[in-house]
Amino acid sequence: MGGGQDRHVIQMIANASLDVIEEVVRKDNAMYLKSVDKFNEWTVSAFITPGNMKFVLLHEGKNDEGIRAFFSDVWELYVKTTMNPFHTAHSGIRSTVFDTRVRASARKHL
Amino acid sequence: MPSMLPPSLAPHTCILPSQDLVDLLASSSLPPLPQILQSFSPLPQVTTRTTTLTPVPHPTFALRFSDLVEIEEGCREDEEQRAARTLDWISARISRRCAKWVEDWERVGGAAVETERNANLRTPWWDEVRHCIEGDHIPSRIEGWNHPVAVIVAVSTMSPNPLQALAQLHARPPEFPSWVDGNQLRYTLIIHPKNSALSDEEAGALFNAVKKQYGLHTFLLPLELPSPPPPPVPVPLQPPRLPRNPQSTTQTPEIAPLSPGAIPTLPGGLNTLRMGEQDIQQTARFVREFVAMSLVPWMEKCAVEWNENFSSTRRLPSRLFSSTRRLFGSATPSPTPTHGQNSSISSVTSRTRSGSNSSIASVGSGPPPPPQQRRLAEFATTLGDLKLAINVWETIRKDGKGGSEILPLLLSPSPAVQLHVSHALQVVMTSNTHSSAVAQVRALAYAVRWEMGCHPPDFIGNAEEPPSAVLLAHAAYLSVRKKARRRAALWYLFAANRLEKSGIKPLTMYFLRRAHDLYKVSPEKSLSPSFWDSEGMDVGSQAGFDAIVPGIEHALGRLHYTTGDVRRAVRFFLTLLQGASSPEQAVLSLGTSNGSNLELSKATMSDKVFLEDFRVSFQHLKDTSGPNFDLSDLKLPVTFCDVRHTRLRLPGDSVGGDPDLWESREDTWRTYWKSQGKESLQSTGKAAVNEPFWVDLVMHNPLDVDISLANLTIIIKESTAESSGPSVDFVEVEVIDELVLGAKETQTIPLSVRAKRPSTLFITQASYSFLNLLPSSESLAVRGRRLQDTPIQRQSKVYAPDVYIKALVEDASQRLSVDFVDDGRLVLEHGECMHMRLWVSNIGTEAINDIWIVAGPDDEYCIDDGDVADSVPPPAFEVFTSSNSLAQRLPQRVPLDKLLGSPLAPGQSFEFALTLHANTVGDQELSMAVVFRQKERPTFHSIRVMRSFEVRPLLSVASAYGPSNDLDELFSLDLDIRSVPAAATIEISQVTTMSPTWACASRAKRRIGTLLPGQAVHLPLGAQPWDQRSGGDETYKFALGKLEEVLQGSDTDLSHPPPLVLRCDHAVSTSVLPSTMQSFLHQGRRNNAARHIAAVHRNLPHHLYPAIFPLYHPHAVDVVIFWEIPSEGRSGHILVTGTTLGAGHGDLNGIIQEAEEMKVKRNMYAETQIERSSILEAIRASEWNSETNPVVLTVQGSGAVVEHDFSSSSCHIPVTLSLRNYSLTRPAKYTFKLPPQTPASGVSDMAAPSWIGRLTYRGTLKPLEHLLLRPTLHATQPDTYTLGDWRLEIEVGDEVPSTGVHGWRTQYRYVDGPSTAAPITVVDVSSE
Repeated sequence: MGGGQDRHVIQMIANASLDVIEEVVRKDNAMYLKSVDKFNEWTVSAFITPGNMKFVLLHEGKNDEGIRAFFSDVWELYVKTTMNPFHTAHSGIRSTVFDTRVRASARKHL
Repeated sequence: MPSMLPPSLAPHTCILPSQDLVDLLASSSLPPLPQILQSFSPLPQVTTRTTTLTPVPHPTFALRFSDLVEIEEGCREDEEQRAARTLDWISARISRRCAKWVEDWERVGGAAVETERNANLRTPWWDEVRHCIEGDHIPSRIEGWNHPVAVIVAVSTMSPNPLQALAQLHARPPEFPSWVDGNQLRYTLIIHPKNSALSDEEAGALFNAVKKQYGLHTFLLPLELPSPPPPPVPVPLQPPRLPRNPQSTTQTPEIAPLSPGAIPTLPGGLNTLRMGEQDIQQTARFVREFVAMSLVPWMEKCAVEWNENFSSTRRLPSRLFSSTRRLFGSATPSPTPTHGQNSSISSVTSRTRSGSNSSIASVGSGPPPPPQQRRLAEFATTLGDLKLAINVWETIRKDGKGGSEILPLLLSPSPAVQLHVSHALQVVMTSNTHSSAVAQVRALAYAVRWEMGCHPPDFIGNAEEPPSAVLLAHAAYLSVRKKARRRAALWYLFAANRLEKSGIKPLTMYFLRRAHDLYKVSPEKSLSPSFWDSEGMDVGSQAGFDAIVPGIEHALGRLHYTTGDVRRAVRFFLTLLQGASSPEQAVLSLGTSNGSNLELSKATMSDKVFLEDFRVSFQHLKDTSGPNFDLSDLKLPVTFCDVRHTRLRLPGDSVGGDPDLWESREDTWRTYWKSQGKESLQSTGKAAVNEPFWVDLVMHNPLDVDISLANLTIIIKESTAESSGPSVDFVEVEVIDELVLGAKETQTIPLSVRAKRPSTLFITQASYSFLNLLPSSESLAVRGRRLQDTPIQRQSKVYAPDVYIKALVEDASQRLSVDFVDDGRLVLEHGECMHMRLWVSNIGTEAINDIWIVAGPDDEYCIDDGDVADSVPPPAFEVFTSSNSLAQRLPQRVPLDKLLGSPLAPGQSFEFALTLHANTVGDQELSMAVVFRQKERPTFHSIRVMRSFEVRPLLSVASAYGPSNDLDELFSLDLDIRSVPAAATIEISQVTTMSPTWACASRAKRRIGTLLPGQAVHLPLGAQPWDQRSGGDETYKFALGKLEEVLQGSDTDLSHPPPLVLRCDHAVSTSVLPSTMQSFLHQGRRNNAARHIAAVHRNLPHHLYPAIFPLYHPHAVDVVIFWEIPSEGRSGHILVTGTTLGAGHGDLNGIIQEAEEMKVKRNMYAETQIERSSILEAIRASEWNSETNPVVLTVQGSGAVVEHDFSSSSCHIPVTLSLRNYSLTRPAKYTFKLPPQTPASGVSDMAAPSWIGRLTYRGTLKPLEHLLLRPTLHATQPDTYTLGDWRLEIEVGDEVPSTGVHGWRTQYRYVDGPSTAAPITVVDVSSE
């Protein structure tokens, strides 16, 4: 698999980790699930909002506090985005503001 | 606890046959002895005993037999090398058979079985891997399962001297390395065939002799072995075994390799043995005796003895000592004894070691055999003494010597099992290099043993061997059973990725297909159906990860292509050409985490690769499949036409402009013609026969790569045609040979269409050949609107039929072409009159009799009809009659009779001129609809013509007006004309005033001359009432009546105001206005007045303006400034409106008051009330209701200096005061009072005068009357005097003879006082 750098492989890993996340969520009611899954060099951390929206992060190193801070930033941004009356649960977030802020937070915490 | 141990944990017995036995079996068409004996495993109903002598019944007891020489060789082979060989061997086996497997598996619906949790069905590829791993029988350094428990020395009585042969075999010690457990049971087997040279008695004697010499573990096996071998009997399938190392087999060629190929198999894959019934029974008896009488008791005995040792070390003192030793750092090895030292079972271990061991130099003093504890644990496990086994394994595990790999099999399910599993794997991983073959094989072996409930990738690592891939596939298979479909999809993908590298394509494709199918199944969501309904979305329409499906499909496509299934490959590649949905989404999903760009190998995932793959595969498919290649099932997943932006363009449409504007021009025409006749105006938007029109096809490339479309054209249907064939034959459609669209590019492609007869055409499809390979067509229909008429339509989604682009083609009988002759950029000065020429040509087939021009209401233009004004001597002033109506200008008819003298024949053309007045500064457009028809034809046609121009500012004119001080004139009107700094040198040629009431004259009778840029000129004008004025009162009445109607809320009748006579005075020189100028002035006044009214009376409906307001206020004065720029040959005029002279008397006040006091109708809308009051306010403030004090007092000769000799007398100065009534309609009563002697007021520093003689004047002033008052000022000393605090009381009213005492009714009262000082200076000229 050579490091699994293919985009679709990475997406598959994120997708597959949802199975584990859903299983863990049944038992554990924490919002931040650190290192919930692992695939080769990729570690998957997740964050479940009270609305059952799942944020999944694939990372290599170990940085629990940074990831936790990043997730809470993203959560805040996500809540702000969903408060937009023109945003629906059916559509993806296409806000460039959201994107830049998430990137900025990633640069800060990760 | 497992019901049955895996066969790989069964006791392993090695057989050392003599050469004569080998020959005997070969001659009887029988496989080697280990294989024969293996056929009798597992043995049914075996009972073992635990160390506590509790019997343990085994329903089946597995055994493993192998050739001693082979095992010895296997031990000598490098472990890593053998592991690598194992992996290759398994890969080869999978590769050879997977195509058949996949076919069979899919035939029985394996995928469906997965989901049904049918545990009995196993995937063939996993079974294969399992069997191969289970079949491993070479002892390992790590564990003792494969270490031989017993060695059977076998001879036949066919040997010339069986005893000697036996002695030789017994003398040959097993050549195992030092790390192999030497603790083995030695067993002797003598096979006595029927055709032996020895008789049965002799064989019995031999058996007894052997028993005497080699112990009781001896057996005489008599066999029939008939000469023609009996028919084959099916026996259990032997586990496949790794073929022997080719290098070492050359050393011992006498022993046939134990390869699966050597096993005779039936076509059905069954294993058979050609043995007679009696022989089978005999052999079975031997096997049972061997197990029950020798092997099991021997193992039990070992277990008991070792257990003694084990428990003794576990007793308290021993443990204390050992821990003390550990505590005090003693270097003594662990007390667990090994067999080498502890020879308590001397009888069986005496022959375990011999000097020949040292011949294996490398291992001569090499690693020790497995520790006794481990062997104890293994024996206990094999014998079913699970209590002891678990105990011992736990101890071993605690000592860190393994055991984790077996415990999960023995313990009941608990979380600890998982920990054991991961620990075992960790040991494997750390004890070897990460991806060594040994580690893989070991991990595989563990996985095979555990079979379920573990994390395969943890022990696969980066291995790319097919067995690990199959293991992953099995993990996926199990995940599906656990309903973890997403994870299963990932495992399948990983498995496929690995298998692909080994080139095992059928299975790779199967795995990819599974991954694809599993990913496509979206997990169940417990959401209300309304969640989807709320946004009108399909449940399946949600978008997930964008790269997964293309990634899998691309791999599948490539595999299909390489395996020769080009047709399916093409289909896969075609579906990949989806294009990214939107650029920002692509950016988002590409995801650069923590700011640094993630190195994603985009090359494998881009549209470019997909397209290239499609091109190559499709070309190949086309080349190979010949001309009768059916393409109908290949549909492009992307569309390139942007239907909603695709338009029909007719030749007349090229003028551009706002469609609403053209619509309003046509409406203007229809309104105009409604009163004239019944003929209708045919709307534009029709193409003519044999004249091209265009379909502007908007093409957008959604892909991230350049594409080419060949033979791009459109398919047109006639509205009446039923057929669905190609384009109708009477229409010529342009075909574009090749169109290249760049990545994400949008292009508008005009395709010309020419119809040969009138009809209604629908543009239904665009067709092209994608990449010049795949013919394709796209519908150009737009979905109809959603229907909401009936409840059923509202409850479900029902749409009107699709809408196609429609083109109407008509006969080209009436066609006109109109163009401006000069179409360069046009820059005009403000007010300039520009002559423009239009070229009109009849391109139809019939003559045209009438042409009208319909322009916008604000456009000021005149058609030059070629008339030359008569040169008459200019009068003192001009008089002309105005319609006084604000009504919009009617369409202008082009005087064809004058210009041509005949109708415009087909093919004929002519030019006519139009004068345009640039009345507004800025960028302007003149949009005119030209309406025409043949005489008496029932329909009019129209054509559009448009001209853009820019208007620059030139002059700024300010006007100021007020009562004049001059007695000769009533009002003074001062004009300030200033040239804009950027303008050219301007010549003011004429200043003309126009008014229904006032006659104006310049007080400075001179030419103004040139005006340099930025220069200003002041022009004073005086205004006097015109004694021949007429129509003013009627106009006033009309306006008042209409405004009253508006205020009372009654319906306004649409009557127009009465005409009004206008007087024109030329201030600069006498001249005559041309008739076109009158028209321009009327249009200019109309535009200005309409703009003013629209701004002030915002709440009145626009269409009512002409019915309410007259064009001219009777007292209005308009000033027209004519200018010329001789250097540029430009000329023009600027109209200044908005001046109203004369006093008004608030004639609407009564009506307004009435309206205010009117009983307010309750209205539910506050807006209506607000609107009403705003209308009222606007009318109250309008010019029609102006109210001023009409009487003005002026001091004649103010500022005069009077010389007087005060030495003789005081000074009496007569002061002339002028009193004038500026009202045109009402008389005014006045009372003028001069103050008696008053002290000097503090307000002014001038002296207060004292008056002598008459101080109070009373009288009545008729309209426009003026009179002079002459009071006398008494000055006692030289000084500057003001008039002091005089007071003027005015009563404006009507003389009504019937009412009041004096027949007077006062309407308004005003009081006036001094506002300016008007000083009079008295100078003493006494000579003293």
